[in-house]
Amino acid sequence: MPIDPGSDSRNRLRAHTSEESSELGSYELVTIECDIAKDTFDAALASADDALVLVQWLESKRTD
Amino acid sequence: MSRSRVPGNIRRQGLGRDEAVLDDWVRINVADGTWTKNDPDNHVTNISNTGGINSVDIDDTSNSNYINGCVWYKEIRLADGGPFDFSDRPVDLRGYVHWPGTGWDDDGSQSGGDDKPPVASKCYCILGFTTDPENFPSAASGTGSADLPRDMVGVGLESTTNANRLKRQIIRNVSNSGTYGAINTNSAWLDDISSGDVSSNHKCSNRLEFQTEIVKAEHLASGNLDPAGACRSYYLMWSDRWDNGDRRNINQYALDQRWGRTRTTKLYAFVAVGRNDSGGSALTMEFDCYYHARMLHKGTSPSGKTALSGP
Repeated sequence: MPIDPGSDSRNRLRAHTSEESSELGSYELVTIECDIAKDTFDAALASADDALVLVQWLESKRTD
Repeated sequence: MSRSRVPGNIRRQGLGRDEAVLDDWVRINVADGTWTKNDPDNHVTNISNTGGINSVDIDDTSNSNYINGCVWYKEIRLADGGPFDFSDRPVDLRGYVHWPGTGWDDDGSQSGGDDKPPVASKCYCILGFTTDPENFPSAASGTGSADLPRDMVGVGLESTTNANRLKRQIIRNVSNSGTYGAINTNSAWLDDISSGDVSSNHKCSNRLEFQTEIVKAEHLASGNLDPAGACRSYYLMWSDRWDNGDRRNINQYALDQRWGRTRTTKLYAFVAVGRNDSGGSALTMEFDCYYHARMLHKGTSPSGKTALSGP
């Protein structure tokens, strides 16, 4: 059974992109503030398919 | 004979806070004569304040370092007139920037409001704090033009070429090289106004709040510019609101701004306006800015250090 982090209210996420300019150069940052239930996260670590689902969920929550 | 005093302990007046606390928001009027202006290339004119709203005209000069446009600054003081000596006391700093004259028409795509500044007009308004305003650029070009406050943080609104949304801009100086370091920036889009936003009465995301704290960071090692054990602002919280006042998001940013590279005995508030691009036309900007600076305690932390930073 693949994970479905978006339907589990234990998981909370907010993310946005910004443009950083410093002595390291100019580049984009994705800032993520995230709480993920440990079993969900462990499942993502154990499965490439679930890891992809997790990343897609992170991406879907970007507000920029 | 009656007596007016109720027997018992003398009741403390007020809220029990340190009397020497500046404990309210301060609305900034850059035209009230108390703010020092630094505008080496004289690109801002017609400075006025009506009903609390500042208004300026900005020409088409590009000042892309944000502090090399027009800056007003003033030392912030405690309620008793004393300086903000943060060498061993944490300080809470908050700011608010609002462009009341920028908005959109009901279709969410066209310039609206009072058009001050117009959408997509490539200008900015930054509110910040610094210790060393003498390091704002003293010249438009050549010697002095690259000067930069060593310790500063500023947050504000920026208009780009996008007609549907503004940006949040953070400026700071976390460099540890050169005489003054280099300006560091971080910008993020605010809400992209769509018809759905407009139907919720959100025509523009044009209000920004921020908060950070200066704390003692005893473990910091020294560097080229950085003193050992310098004070530091680790994080900055920022929040945007729509034009009707509704809050949108609360975000955090890893600020890592050091404090005390020039002095630890004074803090200044500043407002910077200008343009980040030489294209386009001169414009009128209306801006409303507030700040709130508060000394948090007097070094009586139970940790034995300020800011509860150690055992």
